[in-house]
Amino acid sequence: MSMSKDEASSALHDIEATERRSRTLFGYGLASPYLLLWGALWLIAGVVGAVSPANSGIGWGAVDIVGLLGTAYLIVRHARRCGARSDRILLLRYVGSAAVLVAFVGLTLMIFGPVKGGEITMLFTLLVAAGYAIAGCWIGLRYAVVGVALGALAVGVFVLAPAHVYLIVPFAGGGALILGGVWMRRA
Amino acid sequence: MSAPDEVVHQSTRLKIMSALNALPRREMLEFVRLKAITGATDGNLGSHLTTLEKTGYVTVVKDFVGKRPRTRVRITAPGRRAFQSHVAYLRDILESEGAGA
Repeated sequence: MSMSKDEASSALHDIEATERRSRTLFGYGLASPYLLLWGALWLIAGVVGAVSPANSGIGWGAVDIVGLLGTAYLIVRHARRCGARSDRILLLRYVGSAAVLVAFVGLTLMIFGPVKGGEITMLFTLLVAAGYAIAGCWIGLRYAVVGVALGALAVGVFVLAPAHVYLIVPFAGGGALILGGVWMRRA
Repeated sequence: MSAPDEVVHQSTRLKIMSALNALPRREMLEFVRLKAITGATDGNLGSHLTTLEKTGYVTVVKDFVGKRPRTRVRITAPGRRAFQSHVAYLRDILESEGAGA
């Protein structure tokens, strides 16, 4: 068997394109459970806020704790499934990232003074939307679609019904994340 | 110069091996996702997977999720080595002819 330079070049090009597509689709499959988890938790927080607005803050706090623990569980499960030598490093990275995010949001709220429930909801939602949109620029178009859809929904609610942001956005955001999670799972 | 691998060389099998080689160790690709990546038909993909499995380059795992049958494929260590050796052979062709041109 002998190959020309053109045939070899074409085969290498095919290999590169196939590897890229495989990594992207595999990444979608990995991301899907995280989107479904956080989407469901946003919906739960939305229901708590709608049924008992006075307990909305407690609901969000509980949901965030469950979400952070659930995310840690998914990371460890995946690390063990693919035979990672140490899931401790992954967990440390995750804890570090979560700490940066919590510190960023906490400090932002402190610097900008007392904020209303709707403003906090918008801040979190836009932060998540921006994260997905940025991920989309680097690792897969579907992340960008989820991020832009989430951001557009939140801004739409903020413009059209600003008094009901804290009620509507969690449902819109949770729904967008769940739909995005299902879409990625089927990729 | 590296040697070509007759099994990996075929275009659909090369795509299958490329898709599997891109995954982390021990990870598997579902048959339907592999079909989407390679653009092969069910029969064609199944036939090439059988060839790769007989050579020991991939492992095919069949199980059920609830009542739905699921087929997943994983690259083996010899399969990864064969693929990487074939890629080195392709690069050698480019470099050797490029140097001579």
